[in-house]
Amino acid sequence: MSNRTHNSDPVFQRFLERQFEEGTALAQSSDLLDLSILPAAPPHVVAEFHCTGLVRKGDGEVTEANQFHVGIWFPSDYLRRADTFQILRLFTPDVWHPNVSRELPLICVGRLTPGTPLVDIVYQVFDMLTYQKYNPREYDALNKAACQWARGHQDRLPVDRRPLKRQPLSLEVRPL
Amino acid sequence: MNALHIVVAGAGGNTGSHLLPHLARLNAVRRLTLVDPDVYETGNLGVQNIDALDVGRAKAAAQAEKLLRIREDLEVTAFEERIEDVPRGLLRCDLFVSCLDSRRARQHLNEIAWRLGTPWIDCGVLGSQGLVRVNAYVTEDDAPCLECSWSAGKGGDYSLLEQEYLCAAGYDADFPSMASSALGGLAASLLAIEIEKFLQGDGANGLASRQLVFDAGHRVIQLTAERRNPWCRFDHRTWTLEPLPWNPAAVTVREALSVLGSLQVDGHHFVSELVCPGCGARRNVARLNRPLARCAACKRRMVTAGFGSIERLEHGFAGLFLYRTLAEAGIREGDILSNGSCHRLVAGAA
Repeated sequence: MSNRTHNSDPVFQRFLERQFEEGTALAQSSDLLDLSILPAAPPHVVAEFHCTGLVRKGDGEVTEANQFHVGIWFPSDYLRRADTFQILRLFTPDVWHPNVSRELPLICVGRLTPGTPLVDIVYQVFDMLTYQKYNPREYDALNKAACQWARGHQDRLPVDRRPLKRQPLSLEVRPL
Repeated sequence: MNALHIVVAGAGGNTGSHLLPHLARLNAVRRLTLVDPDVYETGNLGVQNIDALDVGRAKAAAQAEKLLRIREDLEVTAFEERIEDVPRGLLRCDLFVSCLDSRRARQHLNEIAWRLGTPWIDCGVLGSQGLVRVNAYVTEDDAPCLECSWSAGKGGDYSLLEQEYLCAAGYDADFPSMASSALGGLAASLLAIEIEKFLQGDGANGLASRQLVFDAGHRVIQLTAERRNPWCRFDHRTWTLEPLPWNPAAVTVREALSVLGSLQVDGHHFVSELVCPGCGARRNVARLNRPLARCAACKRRMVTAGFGSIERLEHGFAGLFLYRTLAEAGIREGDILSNGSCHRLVAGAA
């Protein structure tokens, strides 16, 4: 795994190293997430989610899907400035969600504080894809139709209640 | 000091419009560069030092004219754009003065001042509490910068940075300080006095690395010393510039890469596509991401999706850009090009 980057700022380098360590640890403790780190400069991450989310194909029917790819990267000034659109890219088409554009590879996780850790972003995207969180305000939704749809289908939401991180299973048997 | 050049960012606002006449009357000042991207609106008449004839005019240009009416031998340059969009080489000066009204813009000015090794004085007002603040920063070893006192985490300064886009609402950062004309005038006077001290070389008694707060509501003045934060997120680097006698309209990116090896304009990214989160429009570009582009259809600010921009052009990663001239790629005279090891000022053909 390469984390080659042009930014020689040691603070940013340490930040990147920690993000990849924490991201890898999260992926290893999850059945719903794989992370690939691309050797670009600065490094780019592709998160593959195996959770249940919604897509809407050409026929208009909203159906469930189980694989989503999201790109995440950190510009060299990420500790000081962050733009939610610039940090994220959705590679899976037809995702049906108020915070995901139908036409563009845009995801909006809302206001992103500079330096927000990779795992926090991964959790935010996961909560969004599974409809554990979504933006019900049409004026600020990337997909207004999905916003309306979500309001009318509350009974179907969230579409996946599993936690991203595998929960430890206790098999300890205590005598009665 | 004589024949000084001062750059004033946020030159046309609540404090800037009151400050400029003071600066024009300082004999030591020979040149003023005004930077302000905004246009005067009717609402500004109540709190800024303008008149009805200025409404509808670009703030920087309107103020430049006023300055020349005060002192005709003054050299005045006006940039009607954001401070971060002005080529940094055109901002080389003896002193930066900030009359900006957002954290984000101040953060950019702090970076520019450090890169150019130039001191800067910042000013802020809080109308609701009648507070005026003046800070002075010098770009020396161990001196603090603006971000040294910034806090991370929820509610910290970084989380309060104004963001230009928020989902589809086309969020434009615009937080009026609610300051009266009198408070703006007070801030301008305090600022002008500190600038005078700076011009007189009053190092020991100057405000460097200190913050002056005047609580007009309670008639209290506080002076606080600031220290360098070893964990500051800003790197505090100052650049040494080497001239690069190129005409941006006559040199291609390919030619530039063959000389420099790689190409970066600090603070900006090269983008290949802009998209509109409002109406879904796409626009192929292949240029620096400045100035902010607006959608032709719905007028929202256009954005770059993740993985759609690159910080540094290199052979093998510059396909779309290779045969464009530097000018077509958004590089202007006065820009500072970096290849990671040195910084070259595009200074025009010899």
